Amino acid sequence: MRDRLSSVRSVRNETGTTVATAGYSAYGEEKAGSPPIESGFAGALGAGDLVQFRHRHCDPETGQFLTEDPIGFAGGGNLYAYAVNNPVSYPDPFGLSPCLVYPQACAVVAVIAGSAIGYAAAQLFANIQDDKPLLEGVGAAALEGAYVGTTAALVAVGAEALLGRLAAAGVGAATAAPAEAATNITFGHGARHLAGTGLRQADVEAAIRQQISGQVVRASETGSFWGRVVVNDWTIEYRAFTLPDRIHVGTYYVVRK
Amino acid sequence: MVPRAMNAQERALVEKLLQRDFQGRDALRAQIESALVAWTEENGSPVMSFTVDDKAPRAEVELRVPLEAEGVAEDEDGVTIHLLLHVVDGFLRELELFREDGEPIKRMPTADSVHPAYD
Repeated sequence: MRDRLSSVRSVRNETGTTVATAGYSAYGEEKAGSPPIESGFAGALGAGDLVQFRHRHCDPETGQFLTEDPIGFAGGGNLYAYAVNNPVSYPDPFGLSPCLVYPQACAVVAVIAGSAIGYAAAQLFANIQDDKPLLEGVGAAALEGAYVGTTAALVAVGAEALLGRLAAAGVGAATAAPAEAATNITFGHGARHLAGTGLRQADVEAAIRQQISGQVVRASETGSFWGRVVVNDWTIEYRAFTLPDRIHVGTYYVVRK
Repeated sequence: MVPRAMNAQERALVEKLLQRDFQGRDALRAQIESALVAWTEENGSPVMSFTVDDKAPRAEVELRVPLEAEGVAEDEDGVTIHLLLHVVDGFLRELELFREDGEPIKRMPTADSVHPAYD
């Protein structure tokens, strides 16, 4: 069983009996466990005195990476900070930049991107073999890879179960392309949670719409996800769900009050 | 709607959401003792609003919606219902319920049917 940050908190055998449990500090130091679970913290590859993420090692005592962020300031203003110093909210399984949406979305994006790159590379290699123009068909191959990667990612993160549950409910199979769904965004309620902030419903919903359209679209098939936007210095959190024809924002509210 | 004392079903539902331990949980549990509730509805999504005695212990929660208290349940047609417990200024403010698809809830979840949203 994994928690919200994708950290492994318990392991069960085939009969459902818990055979191992784990606890961690905010930065990945193992606090409890019987027996210990390796590589269980927030998508890390390995644990010990240092927590090994995909691209860097993090010292759980200081909450800092040992090396600079390979993607430079694109990952945030502090080149050594893990999860923008907010590990409870933002896991950083790659050691590149924190996931600003539901952690599973990170995994989906990674698989999709990886698959797209793989397909594109294969097409490049084929072009060289066939003596064709180097970039011919590379874009289409990348798109195909992204499509294949999306399917693989859904299975990998368990999102298929969520989509299946929606389908069984008569909502219909989630066949909408993410890009199509992301252009059709509906809101449930949340405006009443803005009371006392001076914020306008239209401004908040526009900010959420912009974030979903611009950033979450590629990961929207994770089914459900959350995100945060800042409007006039107020941080607003929202819950959103991918439906066959749209993304529905169920609610939103000021994170701290 | 005039606030009234919680009935047994409502109390069980809120207590179910406060089963897991988190910062401020015990204070929220204590607030239940004096809490009055009133139901409203917005597009078929019910809201249970709390009025809590200000002498009740204040909950030092980190977030307005404590993730440990977030629950899910299935509506009668299988669509997931989300239950979010809102805490404002340290006091229970509302229990928000809505379906993922935005449609009106068909069957109100009971305490037995609610599971934690995050394992």
